Amino acid sequence: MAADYNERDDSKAVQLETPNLSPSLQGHLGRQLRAAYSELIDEPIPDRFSKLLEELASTQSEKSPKGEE
Amino acid sequence: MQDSSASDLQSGLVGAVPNLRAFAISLCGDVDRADDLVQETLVKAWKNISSFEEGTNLKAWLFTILRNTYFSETRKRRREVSVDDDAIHARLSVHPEQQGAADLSDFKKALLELGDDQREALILVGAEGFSYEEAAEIAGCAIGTVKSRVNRARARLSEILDVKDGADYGPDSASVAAIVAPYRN
Repeated sequence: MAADYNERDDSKAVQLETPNLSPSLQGHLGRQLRAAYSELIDEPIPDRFSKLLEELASTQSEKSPKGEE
Repeated sequence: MQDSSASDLQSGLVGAVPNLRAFAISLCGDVDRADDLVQETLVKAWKNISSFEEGTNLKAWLFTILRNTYFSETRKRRREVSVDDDAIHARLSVHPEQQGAADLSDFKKALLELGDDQREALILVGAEGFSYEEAAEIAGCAIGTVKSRVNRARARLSEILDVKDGADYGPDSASVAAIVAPYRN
């Protein structure tokens, strides 16, 4: 976390090579990105995942009785 | 000893599935492959629960597993067969049930035109809200590299979409507020 990577120079160089977009344009792109992404997040989850997780849980925690369901 | 943390982990995994799926689909542009990636990620996570440090960010840990799986498979595939990226990407961009928001389809196509590294960085920081530090840990690179990738991704998107400062950004902001709200949790 606090690791100070030796890449300060890299990020400085970036600002030279890539002009930063204005905050409003960045904001526009960010909103579109989050909108597109949240469509994916809101997609229905296939059943295979809840089944898989139940299987995994039952294989590993056989000794601990599950209080679920 | 693992009893309570195992059930915690299980509910943590369940809760992370929508985000893992969204990340996987964004990375590979293919829903079927994305689901396989998520499945592999969940299995690996469960098997390696002992290497997860409790109290640290479970989602970041899972994202790391998923992206490492994706990138190592991608490298393997490139060696074995030459994957037709265009064909894969075309499958996502015509994904029928996603056509509701017409103004987003251009954006989604543009996103898939970015290189994998840039798209990954942009999604981690811009869509998932990871800090640059977290994104750097997930992607296994330096913070400056993440910043550089995000900057270049944004610049490239604005080129592809041909949007410029001061342009009319279109009618998205109102609907976007409604779409984004449920994602913030």
